[in-house]
Amino acid sequence: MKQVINMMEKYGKELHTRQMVERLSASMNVEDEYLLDMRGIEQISRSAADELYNLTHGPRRVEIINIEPFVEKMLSAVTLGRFLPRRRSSTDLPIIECQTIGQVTQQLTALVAE
Amino acid sequence: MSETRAKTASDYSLGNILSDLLSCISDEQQPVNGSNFLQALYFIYNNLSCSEEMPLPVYKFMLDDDATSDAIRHLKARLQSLVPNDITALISPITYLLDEFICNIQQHAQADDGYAFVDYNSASDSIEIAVADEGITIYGSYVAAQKHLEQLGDSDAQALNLAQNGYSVKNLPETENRGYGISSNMRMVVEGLKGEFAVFSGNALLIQFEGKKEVLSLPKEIDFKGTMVIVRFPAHVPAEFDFYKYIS
Repeated sequence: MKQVINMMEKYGKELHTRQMVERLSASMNVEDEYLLDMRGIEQISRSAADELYNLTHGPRRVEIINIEPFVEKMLSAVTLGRFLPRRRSSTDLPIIECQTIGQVTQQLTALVAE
Repeated sequence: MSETRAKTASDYSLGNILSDLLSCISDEQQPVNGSNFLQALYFIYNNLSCSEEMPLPVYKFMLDDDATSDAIRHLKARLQSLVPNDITALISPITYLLDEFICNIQQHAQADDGYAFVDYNSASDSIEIAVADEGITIYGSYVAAQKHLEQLGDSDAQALNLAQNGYSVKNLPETENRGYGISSNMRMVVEGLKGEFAVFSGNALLIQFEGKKEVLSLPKEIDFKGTMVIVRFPAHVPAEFDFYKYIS
């Protein structure tokens, strides 16, 4: 029989940290089946969503139900992100060596003024 | 409290703010730690003298789940109370950025506490968010994870270079290992929200705004034992901003 975990009762309306989900995962028995009822969870961080992906794609038998729209979009985004190539934003930037606070100020002022 | 000259909107560019911040820290000969950095930043944003002693809205929080969740809720509520216009459309990116900055501290900094402040600047109609820790720095995170050591050398600035370039400290081949973190957060703030982004870590500074991006190696008297992320962006969401574009 599947155990239902009411996530809003357990954590409130927002899931902020990866560690929350990691601890939930650690508390589960591998032999048991779980349903995570997400009704009422309105916000989720990308890290927590990413960890939920791990939880639902790992050795434990876990399903997520009653997903609110924002959480669904975040879960879709992190799932999609799994299959995207590693993103490199740019090549290395030149490192500007500043020996004094004055040089830092000068550099930043020039950057703003450019 | 004493006030310095009135600032104009252009004085609140992040480059100018950071110049003032470093001078303020240097002039006051304050230890360069997360709390002092944020206090100095608050003074500058609010046009106060750096030498003032007053209670500041710098929020200190422990890095356990309950405390970080409370911190995020508190900081969001504070911003909603400070900004005069409706920021409903900004709630998702604000929550996302606070989550990211605070979770990064939890995961990488090896610190006991975090510090944060949020503010609204009416002169520039912009929102400021700063989150700091007194942990092992970004350089230390790469070393602790034994990642990218060949490129890293002995330089905080090179560590910031790797971070802005999407090099992850994680080693999770089947999970998140794609260099999210700083590089994707920068994209959301600078490209998406038309804002500015800076990171202090150790004795290096990374700053990006309007297509400009620089990494500065700072003088040795500015050796910040930790990491601080500062962002500022307009309190109005650009019409073309698509939150989900920046999270996948």
